[in-house]
Amino acid sequence: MSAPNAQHTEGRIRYWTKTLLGPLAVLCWLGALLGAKVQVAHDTERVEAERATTAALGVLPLAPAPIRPGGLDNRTLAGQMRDFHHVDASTSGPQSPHQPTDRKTR
Amino acid sequence: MWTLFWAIATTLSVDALGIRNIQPVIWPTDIYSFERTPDTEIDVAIYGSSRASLDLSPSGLDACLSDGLDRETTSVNLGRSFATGFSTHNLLTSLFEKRTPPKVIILGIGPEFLDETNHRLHLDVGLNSDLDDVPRQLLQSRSISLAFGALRPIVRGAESLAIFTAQRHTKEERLRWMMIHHGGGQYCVGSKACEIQNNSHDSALVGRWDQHLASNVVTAEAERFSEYVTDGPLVGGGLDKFLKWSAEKDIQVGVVVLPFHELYKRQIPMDVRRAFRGKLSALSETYGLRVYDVGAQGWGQRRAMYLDTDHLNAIGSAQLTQDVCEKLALPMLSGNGR
Repeated sequence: MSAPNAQHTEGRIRYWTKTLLGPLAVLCWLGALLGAKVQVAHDTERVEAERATTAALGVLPLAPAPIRPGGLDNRTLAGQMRDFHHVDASTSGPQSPHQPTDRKTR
Repeated sequence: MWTLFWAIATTLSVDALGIRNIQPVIWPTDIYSFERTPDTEIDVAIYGSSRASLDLSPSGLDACLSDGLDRETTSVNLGRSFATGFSTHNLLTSLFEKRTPPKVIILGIGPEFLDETNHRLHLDVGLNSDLDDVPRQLLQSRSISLAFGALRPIVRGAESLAIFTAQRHTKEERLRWMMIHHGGGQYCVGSKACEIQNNSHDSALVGRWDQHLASNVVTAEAERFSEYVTDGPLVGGGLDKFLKWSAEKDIQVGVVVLPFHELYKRQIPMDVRRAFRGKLSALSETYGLRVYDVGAQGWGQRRAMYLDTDHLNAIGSAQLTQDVCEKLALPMLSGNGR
C-alpha cells in the first residue's frame, strides 16, 4: 500500500472510531440499565415464587452453606466482611439446598 | 463534565430502578431481597450494625411475640456493617418510603453507633446518601475519608450497576435464604433447617474468637475510642431526624444496648461509656425512647454465648432475643411501651 493510501485508511479509521465510540457507549449504558430493569423484575418474581412454593409445601429447604474463604472475592467487599470470611475452609462444607425439613415458611 | 453528568445520571437511574442497595456491602443483610418481598405489615424491624444482625433473631422474636400476643407476627433484621445513627435515618426512611412502616423499630447498639468519629463512618455516609446530600455532607466532613464518603453518591450508581450486572448480589445465597424465609439476621429458630444453618454458621466461624483476641480487641481502644463525639451533624443529627420521622409515622422506637464480653468491654474507656450513657439518657428523655440495657445483666463473662468478644453465637442470640422480646418488644407491641 502506498503512503497516501495508508494515511487515508488511518484517517478513516480515526473518523469512524470517533463517530461511533460515543453512541456505542450510550447504547451499552442503556443496555445495562434495561438489562438491570429486566433482572429486577425477574428477581422479584423469583422471591415471590420461592416463598409461595415453600408455603405450599409446608417445608423449608436447607440453607445454603456460609461463604467460605476464597468463595467470594473479598477485595471488593471493602473490608466489610473481611474478618468473617477469613475462616478455616475445612470447617464448613456445602449442603444440599433442596433437602426439605419440617417447618412452614414465615 | 460529561463524565460527571454520566455518573450522576447513572446514580439517578439506579435509584429509580430499585437497585441502590446493591452495594459492596452485601453482608450481613440482603436488603435487595428484602425490597423484593411483598409489602406486608411488619411488627418489629431491627436495625444496627453486625452486632444487631448476629445478636437478634427475627424468627426468634416472632416465636416469642406470637405466643405473647396470640397472633402471627412479622419481624425483620435489617442490620448493616458499621451502621450508625446516620444510616438509621437514611436507610430506614428510604426503605419504608414505599412500604408500610413497621409498628416498632428496635435499634441494637453499642457506643460506636452514636459516635461522630466512628472509624467507618465514611462507608456509612457513602453508601447511604443521596445526590442532594453531597454539598451539605461535604461541608460537614471532618476528614479526607469522610469527604470522599460524602462524594460517593456521585459514583455509587456506576458501582451498583456494575455489581448488579455482574450478578454479585446472588453470590451469598445464605443471606438471601435468611431474608426470604426468616426476615434476615444470622440465626433462625423453629426448624431442623435452622438448627443446621445455625450450626453451620458457627462452625464456619469457629476461629473467630481467637482471631478477635489477636486483632480487634488489641486495636479497639486506639481505633474506635481514641476520640468520641455524640453530638455531631451526621450521626447525632441523623438520629434526631430518624426519631422525628418515627414520631411522625407513629412508629415506636426501642433501644437495646447489646452485650460485650468483658475482654472487649475493658477496651472502652470510662469517659466514652459515660458519654454514651449520657447521650442515651438525653435521647430517652427527649423522644421517650424505651431503653433495655443488656450490659447490666451479667453477660460479660459468659464465653459460651459469644462468637467473638462483641458478637453473640446461636446460643447467645437465642437467649438475648428472648430477653429482648419479653423486656422490650412485647410490652411495646401490647401497648405498654410508652
